[in-house]
Amino acid sequence: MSTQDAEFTPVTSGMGWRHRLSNLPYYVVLILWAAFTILIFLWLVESSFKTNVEVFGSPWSLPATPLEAASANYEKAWAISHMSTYFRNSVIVSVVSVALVVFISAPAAYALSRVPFPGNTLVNYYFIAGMGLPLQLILVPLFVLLARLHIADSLQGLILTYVGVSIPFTILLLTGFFVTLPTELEDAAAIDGCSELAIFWRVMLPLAGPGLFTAAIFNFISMWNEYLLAMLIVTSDTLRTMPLGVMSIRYSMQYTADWSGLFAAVVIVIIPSFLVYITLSERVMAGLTLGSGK
Amino acid sequence: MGRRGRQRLVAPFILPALVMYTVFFVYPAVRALWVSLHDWSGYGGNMVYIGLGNYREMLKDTVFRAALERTLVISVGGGIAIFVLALFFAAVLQRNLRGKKFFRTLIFFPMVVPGVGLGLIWQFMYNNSWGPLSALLELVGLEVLDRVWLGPDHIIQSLTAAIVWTYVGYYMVILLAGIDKIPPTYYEAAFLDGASEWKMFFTITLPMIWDVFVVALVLWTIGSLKIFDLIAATTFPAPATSTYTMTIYIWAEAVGVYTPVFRLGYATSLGVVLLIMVVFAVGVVRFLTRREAIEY
Repeated sequence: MSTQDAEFTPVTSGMGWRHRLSNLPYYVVLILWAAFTILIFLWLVESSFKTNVEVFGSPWSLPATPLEAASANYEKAWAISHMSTYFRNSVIVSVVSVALVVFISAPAAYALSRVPFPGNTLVNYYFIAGMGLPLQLILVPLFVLLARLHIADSLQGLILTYVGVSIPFTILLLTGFFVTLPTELEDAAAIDGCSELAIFWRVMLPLAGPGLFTAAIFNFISMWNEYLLAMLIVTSDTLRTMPLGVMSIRYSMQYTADWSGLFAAVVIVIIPSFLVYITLSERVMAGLTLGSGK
Repeated sequence: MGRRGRQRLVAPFILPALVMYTVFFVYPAVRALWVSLHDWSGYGGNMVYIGLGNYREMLKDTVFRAALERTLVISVGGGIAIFVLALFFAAVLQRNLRGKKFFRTLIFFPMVVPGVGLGLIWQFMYNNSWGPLSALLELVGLEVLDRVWLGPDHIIQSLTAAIVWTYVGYYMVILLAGIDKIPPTYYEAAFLDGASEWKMFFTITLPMIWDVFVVALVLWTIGSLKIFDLIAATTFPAPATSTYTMTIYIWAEAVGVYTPVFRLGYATSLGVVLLIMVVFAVGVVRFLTRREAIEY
């Protein structure tokens, strides 16, 4: 152990092997849990490298012909089951919704956190109240509303809905960031004759960059994974997002029982989240848990 | 600072977000209260005002009562398991053991995976004629433990296990963030006084992170009542009514899980009940966990 470790963990360091041995049971539980989690996902990937006969006959054996089985499964999922289309839809919906929600939430969060105006607190509460609203509550009226606006069963309808329901948390998260920024820079820019819009755009927004990035990641992951609203709003096959696509493959399996093809589709759905996560895990964890610290 | 110009920014800065949020979230939510007072079958049909008729029907609805019970079992039972495990993991990871970051990242990972993906994995895992769980039990000679995991008698335990596995990392990270803020000197002093690890956990760690703990508990209370993707995918495409939770029942009534039902008024009134449960549960959690802040 380095000296730095010893400084921060007086409890375990410098107490010799006897003490560390007494901690062994705790580590064992931790390691078992971690191993189980790895096993689940390895098993999923491994199953997508098997044929259906193998998947059903021997769920714990290794794939006999991994490459042939995998190319068949992934080809089926990507092309025949239209995962390529669903993938494109998911990218469009998530990227556009994330850009929109951050773009309109950032100015609002800035005004709410840094400009004192009458009714500020009230408006803040109004936004935060949305955090408690269950999506199940709005299903029917939302669908009627979108139908009236002629955007039911469209990606536009889905995007506008995602933006609307994501605003409360995004504003909460960004307000938290703006509050912590120092006022000196703002004031200095004001004295230099910067317009108020320029202060926001050129000074405050860049300073809040990490916050905007965290908000974007959080929203991207939630929207990429979202199922309930997508299922309500989208009915056309060609407009399905990835979660809908995977479920529609599962639905059609009542007749084919093609689980290995489904596992390939599930792997395809998980890969983007996985890639974002392994490159930005600290940001993702911060983004998903940040609202809780306030 | 006299920066009067700022006031003029407020309206254009806030209005876009205010409008989008109001139109696509608040309006449907408020409208839902009105819809819940109606009998309404099918998106083409007419709404018929029946006052509190839907709510009276719930009192006699055995499916509703069972779904409500299952939801509460998941919330309370799963909650106990999650917080015991999350506190345990956070306390273990608090020491700078080798691979702390790895464990933290790994345990959190299921939170990032689409719920439908997880649900479909569990649906296969739990299948007792060809799933790996039953196969494993047979392999090690423990067939006696085999169950119809997703049958009416065991589904709630099975779902709760999957839910605990999925969400524990989230609460662990929140609690860990709280623990990391505790000054190490407290532990040093306690250690010199000869306090055991358990004693330190209950006299230092837990009191010091109490506020964080309450927030985490509130988040779980809200979140647990709303869990949908994971459960829907695990029981997809045809969940039996004997396995419904509140969210699945609402979905079944609003759209139909297998065949269209379209009892729109009733579904919406169930959504209102879910909202009331969320508000009530948060109030109860805050009431039960209120106490004087400990000054150190």
